[in-house]
Amino acid sequence: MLFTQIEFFIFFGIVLASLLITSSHRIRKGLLLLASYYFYAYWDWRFLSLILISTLVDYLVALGLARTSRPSRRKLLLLTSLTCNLGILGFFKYFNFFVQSMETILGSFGFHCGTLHIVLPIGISFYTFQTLSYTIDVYRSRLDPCRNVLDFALFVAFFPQLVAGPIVRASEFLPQLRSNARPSWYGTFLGFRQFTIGLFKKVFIADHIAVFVDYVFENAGAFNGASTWFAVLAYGLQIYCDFSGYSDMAIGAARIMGYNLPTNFRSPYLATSMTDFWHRWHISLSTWLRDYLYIPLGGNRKGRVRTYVNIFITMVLGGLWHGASWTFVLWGALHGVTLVVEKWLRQRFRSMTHSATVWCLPGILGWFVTMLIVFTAWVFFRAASFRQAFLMLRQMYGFSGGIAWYYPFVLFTLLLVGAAHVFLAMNILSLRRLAYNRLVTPVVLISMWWLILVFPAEGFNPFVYFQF
Amino acid sequence: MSTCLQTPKKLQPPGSQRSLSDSVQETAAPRRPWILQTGTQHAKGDLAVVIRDIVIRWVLGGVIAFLLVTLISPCFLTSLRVYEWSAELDDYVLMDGYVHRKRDEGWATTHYGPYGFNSMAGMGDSSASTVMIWGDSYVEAHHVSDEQKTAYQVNKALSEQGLSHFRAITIGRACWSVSDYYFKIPQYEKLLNPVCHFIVVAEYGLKDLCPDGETFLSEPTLQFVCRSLVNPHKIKVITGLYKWGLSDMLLAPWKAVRTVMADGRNMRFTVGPYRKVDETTADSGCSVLFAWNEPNSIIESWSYALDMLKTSTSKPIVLVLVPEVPHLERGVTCCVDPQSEWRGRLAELCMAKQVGCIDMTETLVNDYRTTGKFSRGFHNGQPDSGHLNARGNWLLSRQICAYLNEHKDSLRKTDHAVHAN
Repeated sequence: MLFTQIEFFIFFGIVLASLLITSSHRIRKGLLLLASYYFYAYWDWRFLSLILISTLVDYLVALGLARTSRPSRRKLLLLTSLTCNLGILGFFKYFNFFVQSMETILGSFGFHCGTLHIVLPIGISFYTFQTLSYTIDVYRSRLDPCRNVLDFALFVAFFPQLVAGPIVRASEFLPQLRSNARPSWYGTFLGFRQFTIGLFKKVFIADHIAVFVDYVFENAGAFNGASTWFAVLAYGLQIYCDFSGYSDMAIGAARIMGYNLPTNFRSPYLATSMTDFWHRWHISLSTWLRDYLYIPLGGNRKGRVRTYVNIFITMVLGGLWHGASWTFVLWGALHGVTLVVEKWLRQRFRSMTHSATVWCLPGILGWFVTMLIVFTAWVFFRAASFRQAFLMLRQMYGFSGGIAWYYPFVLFTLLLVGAAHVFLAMNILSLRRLAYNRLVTPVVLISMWWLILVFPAEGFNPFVYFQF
Repeated sequence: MSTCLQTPKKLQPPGSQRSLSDSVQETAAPRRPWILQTGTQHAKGDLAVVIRDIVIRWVLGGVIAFLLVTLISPCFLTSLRVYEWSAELDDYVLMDGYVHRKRDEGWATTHYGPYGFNSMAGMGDSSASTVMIWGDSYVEAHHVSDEQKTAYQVNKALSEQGLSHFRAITIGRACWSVSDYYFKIPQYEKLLNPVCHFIVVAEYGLKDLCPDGETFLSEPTLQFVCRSLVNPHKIKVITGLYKWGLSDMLLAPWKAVRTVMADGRNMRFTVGPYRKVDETTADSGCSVLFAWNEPNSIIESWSYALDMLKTSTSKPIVLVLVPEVPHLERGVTCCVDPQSEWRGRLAELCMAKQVGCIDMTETLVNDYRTTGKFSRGFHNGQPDSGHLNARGNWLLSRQICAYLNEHKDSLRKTDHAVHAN
């Protein structure tokens, strides 16, 4: 079930009504859990078993960790959780990828291993990371294990964030489940506002842009340099609106029900450095990678070279998380390399001048360089193959001839969103202006709904991050 | 009750430096029943005031939003068609004076005159010999302006070539096919007395000449079925609103209702995999060939269609085949039509039936090779496919003019015979 389908609104209405009329906190959570399972099963009920397995394993592992203090036993329990979760993720998401990648090597030795017809369960990357963060926190004694199986199951399967994030930490969410959260009038307004903005970004902007972007990428190399750049910029906007829109809808839906989910995006295209970009883009993933991959690898505590290696590995694996394809790996590697270079530049210039600012490019230049890197990297993220990516890059940087195509809606939207970002940077535009007690708020929000209904994108457009 | 957990002091939630929903500044609301929790504090007695305030604000806001979007949307939405009944043609035609806006593919305005004819092409000189150009949305050509439509360009070219004793009139409507032409040719002949009919076949897969199960049946036998594409009740409402200048106000709500109904029709609540409707595609990934089981039956269908067309008129009929070339295919411009063999067979059949046939493949491909421009496509559609753009209409008009030039003597004889009778 997608947030943009009419079934979801009916489903959500029923869920919300049930929560409102039920006074028992326990029953409310039970209803929410059943609703979450139904939400997931709506896509494919068979894969509900994977969530249940993951839930059960991590619940028991955490309880086991609480019962023992022997390091070897604790490690074994953690290993069990890691094996189970990463094993499921690895099999469903990466089996065919590794088989195909190894085919040439294995083939030279006479081994031929065929691929399997594996359906990728939606949201597996998200809820796997979510449950792993819980287990690891319990292992590190940073968190007490959750003894209420209902609460834990709901933490894993909570439907607003189940299929495409944000990746929620147990330390953030479990206290809310304990605290008898209920819908409130003001929370409903905040949630509705955020949901509406997210829906508008996804349906009105991202889905319309997709029509243009998909065609250009499909015919990479046929369009001239300007049109190709136009398409890449459009893709950057599409993926931002698609993903942040979904996150907004998830956060908004949760807010309506009385739960707070973490912010996942903070105007990433205002970033003035790659480090800044990753503080603003998919925040829940970047912090997860920092806390559960980068820091365990050693972080910045093992010397300069090791720090760079750790950054690079983290970003490569972050790229691989997005998809089982070498283009995603290269995308991650590009980000890794640029982060390493940035860190090196900061350290070098700081050591020379003892100034924290001299290594920083002036704001606008830093922003430009960052966006150039980010949007160039998006080509690999979007392209179906290296060939397609290189064709796009050749047109972008070679400024070759070709078909000129400037989709008017995309042009208009890019200009509008660009202006909005400028106003955001200048603090002229802010969500605070859509306050509860202002007339402009219902005008803007209802206009968004009306525009979505009057100008729908044709066809079925799942969220881009659905595939992760 | 032992529930979840106590958050250890050393573990700070990762987002503690930022608010959990940091795009929002939330004022701390007092612990009240949810219905009373608002952004501002009110005494109990002000509940009615609060609710009234909220309701008024949101209702007023909703009305303003509705009006705003409804008022600007006509600039970006294709207008609703306004029809009137024509006793001479025994059919609904687009209203005299109606101005149609096309916005979803191309961006153009079409003006209509009497009998639903495009007013720019107009009736022209009624003493001239009329040439009728039939087709579907390709000939209706709402995607291009009046001056770029085929009829206007044909008449202009004819005038430049000294053939102004001919005038071209286009009769096209979206979704029309061969059966529609069969039923309508006699009606329009009474009005216009043409000297010949051109039938433009530009839809993919030569679909407009093939059985469609609706107007051109193949079971139990091949037959044409007369139909009307318009709903008289709907027309009455739209025409009434149009006359009051309110049809544009209907656009946005109408579109919204259609969106909801379309989504509603696809609704399901059963758990299970989502299945996307698959479309049949040709192996090469090129244009879709109309799906049929036995290719020989298509030849039979075409033969039937041509025979029926010939019975509907005594005037010469010319098919104009406009294939979907050139087009983009995985980054490469493809100038080969995968249906070239079928077009060849259709051309042979036309020759056997003494029906004229113009195959525009070479024209379209050569034009692309010379100018680099596609004959189909628009910036707000796809650049290489879809309906004929201005260039495509121009090329079509040139082909028709060339045919008229080549056959002007025989057409004149036909015309004289008609006048003599």
